[in-house]
Amino acid sequence: MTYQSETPLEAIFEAIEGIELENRVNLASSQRLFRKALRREDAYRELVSRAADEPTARTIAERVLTLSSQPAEDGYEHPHDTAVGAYLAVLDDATSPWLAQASGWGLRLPSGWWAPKLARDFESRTRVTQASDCVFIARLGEVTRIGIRIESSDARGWLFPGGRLGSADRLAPLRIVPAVAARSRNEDMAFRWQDALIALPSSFSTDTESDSRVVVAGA
Amino acid sequence: MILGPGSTSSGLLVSTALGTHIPNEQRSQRPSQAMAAAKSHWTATLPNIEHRSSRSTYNCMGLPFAARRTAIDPQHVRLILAEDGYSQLPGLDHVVLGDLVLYYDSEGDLQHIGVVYERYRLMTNVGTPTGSWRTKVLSQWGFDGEYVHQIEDVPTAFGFPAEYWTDRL
Repeated sequence: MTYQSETPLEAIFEAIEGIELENRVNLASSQRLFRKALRREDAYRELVSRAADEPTARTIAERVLTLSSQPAEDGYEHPHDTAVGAYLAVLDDATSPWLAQASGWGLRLPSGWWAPKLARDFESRTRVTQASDCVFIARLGEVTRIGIRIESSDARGWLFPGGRLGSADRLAPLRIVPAVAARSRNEDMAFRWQDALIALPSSFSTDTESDSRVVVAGA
Repeated sequence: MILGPGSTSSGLLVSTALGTHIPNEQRSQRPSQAMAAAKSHWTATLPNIEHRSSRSTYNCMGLPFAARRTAIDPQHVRLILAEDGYSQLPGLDHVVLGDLVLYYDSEGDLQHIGVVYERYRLMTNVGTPTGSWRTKVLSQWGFDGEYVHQIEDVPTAFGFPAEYWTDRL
């Protein structure tokens, strides 16, 4: 089957989670070859192109949560490990900010193989830099978040408890405060929000950057 | 290759003959339905192959280099071949049972490795030997199970047999 822009998203999900794709990509003997095998799949490439759209990426992340919440049978690998791994790879190839949250779920997948590997790979590429002494606090609707600015070899964004949320232009921070002061005031808050990021609104205004220490709030 | 007692945090204690640790990791057994589906898929796609096992705890590298106990990333193959005293053969005509076949894809990535399992000379219709040989290979197909197959009878993703190595002296 060929997957095109008119193909319903559900049909692509069905292919990604289907046994035929699972058979083909589990021929791979390493994580690198797994990702190479995925990129040969029509359904995968179509989903990567659609994941540039934020609501679609969010739907993919929610699919990761749904699948990874299902149990594994005792003594066996998680039944959706390959699909979860594929979705993480989709979000990564699409450079989606939802990868941070989804990789947290992939990392905790019980009896997983590909999914935790991809999640660990993502985390290893995320490196906190000097700018991490700036703490970001934002109120988005009913939810308040804090995080620290990060830079990695291939991305710049925000690190939240549980993982990186995304690039700076996707967020509308209310204000930036020095880390020490913020930690003393908000330490308890930090861990309450790590599971609430799935509720992130789909639209954000763009912030502006003033220097390496302070990212000026756009909101 | 040496297998030692115990395990590391991420795998078994496996080392080359010279003592260098070989990073490895055991995968959990995939669900029975998934392995049954893999067997059905590959035996239907390549009807001449013979399914041997549906274990998914090791990969193609783990079969010859870790006695089917664990998975080893193909990126370590050069280290293992060198430190286990393997030498490269000039071509398929020189292989014997137990030698290794390395499969590369069109982009030069090592995709697969197998063990020569059988060699036999093709016969004419009247029963006289020809100059052609056939080679069967035993190999673990990623994590989809273990198969006996003609050397060229593999999924397209594996590419083509390109290198032959032996530990014979």
